Amino acid sequence: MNIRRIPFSLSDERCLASTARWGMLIALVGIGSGTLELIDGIAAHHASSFDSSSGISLTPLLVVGVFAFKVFLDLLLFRAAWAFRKVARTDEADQVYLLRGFRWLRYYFMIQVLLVIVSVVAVALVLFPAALFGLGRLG
Amino acid sequence: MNTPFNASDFPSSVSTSQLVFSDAGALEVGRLARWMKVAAAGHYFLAAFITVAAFFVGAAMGDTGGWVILMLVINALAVILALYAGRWLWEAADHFVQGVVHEAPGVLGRGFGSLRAYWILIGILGLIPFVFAGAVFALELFS
Repeated sequence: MNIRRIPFSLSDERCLASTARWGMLIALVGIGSGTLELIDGIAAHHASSFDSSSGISLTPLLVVGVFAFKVFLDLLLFRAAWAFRKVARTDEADQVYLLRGFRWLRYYFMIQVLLVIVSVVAVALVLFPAALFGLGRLG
Repeated sequence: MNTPFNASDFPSSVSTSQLVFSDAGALEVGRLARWMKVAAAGHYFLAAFITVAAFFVGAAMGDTGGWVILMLVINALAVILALYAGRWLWEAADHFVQGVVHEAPGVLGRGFGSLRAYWILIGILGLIPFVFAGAVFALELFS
């Protein structure tokens, strides 16, 4: 069903527009901080490559990969916020934009949650053998 | 800007006083709410983890006076922020589902209010490193 205008109250529409603004701000801050981290990572790699030029380093690939992933995640958030902004600012197809925003938001939270789970599992996989090895050496 | 509410804007099968979602739309909102609640639960776990970690770190630091108190204050603040973030996210998810189930735009609006509160908190937390880095840079520049 394609409702052109969802009958939100004026205060709800203002709230929706404000929510969209904050979502876009968070996305842009995320992209900005990711860019700074990318520059910092590349600068640090260049500085270290002057000291030791032996071997192939995976650091630049990792830095660029993390940056690309962060930008992808922030773009999902930006698109969700943009769709919510359209619900508040236009009367073209409120319900379509609302559901589109909800879909992008779901992808955003889903990837964030999965990322946290993978990170926790990875840290546990690294820490537990290290802790066991340490205990073994003590014993 | 929005034009005034007009019954002729809506398809004839849709009530003008209610917001009707298709099954696919309702399913989409349900899925979103599930992931939002998992993320909210993550914030609650984070709060619990910070609390437990504070006890261990405090015990390891021993009697170092003001530093322990400062660390505990920062931890308490982090716990409060994590609990509020989780609460707002959970509320937003609940309101979105209730808004769709009861076809009530007002409830959906409350969901966006909770989501905005969550995003304001996340936005401010995201800006803190920039402010801190700027302050350090300014101090180095002028010292």
